Amino acid sequence: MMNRDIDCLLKNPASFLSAASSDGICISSRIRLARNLAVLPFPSAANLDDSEQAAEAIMAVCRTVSHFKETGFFFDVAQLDEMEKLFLLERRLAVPELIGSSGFPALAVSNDGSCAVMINAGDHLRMQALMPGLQLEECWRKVSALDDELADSLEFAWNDESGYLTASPADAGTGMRASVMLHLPGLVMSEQIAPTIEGVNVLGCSLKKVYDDSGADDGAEGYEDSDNGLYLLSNKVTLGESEENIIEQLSVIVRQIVEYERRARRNLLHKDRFTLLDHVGRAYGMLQCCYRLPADEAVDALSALRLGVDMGLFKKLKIATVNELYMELNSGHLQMRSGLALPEEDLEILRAKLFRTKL
Amino acid sequence: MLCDVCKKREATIHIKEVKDGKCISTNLCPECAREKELASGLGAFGFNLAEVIFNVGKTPGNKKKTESFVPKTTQRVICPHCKWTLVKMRDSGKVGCPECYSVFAEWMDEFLESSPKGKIHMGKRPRACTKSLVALKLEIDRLQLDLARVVSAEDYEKAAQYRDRINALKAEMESLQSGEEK
Repeated sequence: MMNRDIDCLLKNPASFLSAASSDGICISSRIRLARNLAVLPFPSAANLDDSEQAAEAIMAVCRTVSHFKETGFFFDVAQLDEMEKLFLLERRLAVPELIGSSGFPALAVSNDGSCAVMINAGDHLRMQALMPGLQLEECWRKVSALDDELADSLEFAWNDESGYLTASPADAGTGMRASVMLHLPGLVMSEQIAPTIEGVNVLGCSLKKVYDDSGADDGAEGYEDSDNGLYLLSNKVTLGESEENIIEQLSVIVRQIVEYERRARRNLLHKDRFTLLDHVGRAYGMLQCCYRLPADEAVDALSALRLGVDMGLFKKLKIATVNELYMELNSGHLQMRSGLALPEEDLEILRAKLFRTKL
Repeated sequence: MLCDVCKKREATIHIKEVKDGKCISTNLCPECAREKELASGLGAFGFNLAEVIFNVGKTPGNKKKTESFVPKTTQRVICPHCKWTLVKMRDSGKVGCPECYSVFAEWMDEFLESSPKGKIHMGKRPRACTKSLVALKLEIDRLQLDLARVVSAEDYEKAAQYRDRINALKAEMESLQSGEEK
């Protein structure tokens, strides 16, 4: 039987994909903070008793904080079935480290899905705020308030010099990873993405494909090596800078990339109009008429559709439909909707039917 | 650098060993290292030449490459609180408990993702933790640099924010100082 709380989440659309706050290029913003309890070994060195103790203590406090109190959802991740775990990954409420953890992994999610606390996923706590569009500052306010409330009842591992102590020293200091999901098909089509990635690296940040195999931290499934323009920009530095400075620097970079993307799109429209129209039109035709649709093909074609909608090439198709399909095409969502664990061949048929119906 | 044993050949293997809290350095040429291992001098410490050579340049995950490598003798360092070892730290890029940060402090730098500005935490602190005078001083210094930067960029709105924050921290520092004097 389906977990009741998962069922509630499934009924609500993913709030981070809400079209209202998105400019079309910045899809969503997320800030994640890593924290650990001072009195227990980190999950990397913890035995089962330690992990159980950590999970119980953190979950008890999560149930009392304003973000989750009365309305939040709480999951004992080990009790969920495979499609439910997949669903949480797709909603970006869990990471593979949480799903794969054998040491009492647990999860608290706010009613609207904008805040979550992952327990025993690499660190004792990984709390996140996830919002649509470019809203890093708002995400920071939200997650910092959650952090303060939790810190009133839990003693976090911390020292003056190294800041928050994390299982991975690469996260020590602020313990913060701020990221923005960007849609950059213009830069990809005009072959300007490689220098952009290089430039971002020089500035101490990273720009990676969302569906990159190496980007496991994002919780996305690794698809084959196609470039559909979905990228994740995030900070690398966690020590020696304040959270506000890191967020400000990242926001400046985002604005520059958005400007480059707009310029690339304008150039495509003026100088290579038919290549652009062909790219979008082929994707639209394929999605409307196909009877078998693998997930990677669906994401690639949907990215082209998104570009077309953003550039005003469609009269009726709305960005909200594109966003909805972006979430619903995933294997976890398809299985949850059908209520059955299905093999990939059946999922391809189901996915194709979803697109034929919605477009 | 010449080999510590034969004093003739160039030393290419550099071993650092932590014993009773002291760091002892040994520099060996490949021949002497092999002999020492055969005589189980190094073998007794679990030293394996092939493994050391194999480990050169091997770094955990996508970590930046380090200039030096940690031979197995130093890899015996163990955290007394959680039993985490340097080998595990290098293999996984992770530590086992808060105490590991002081136990493995000597090797920590290569794992940290720090700003060019420094390796001192400049961000948020838990509400319950009062700031130390040193930390406050560091934060004020940093903010003054930021203030100079925004003034030269003529961003006066931001400059006012920095000025207010510096004044607040100075007041906090004074109250902390007067508390300590009492």
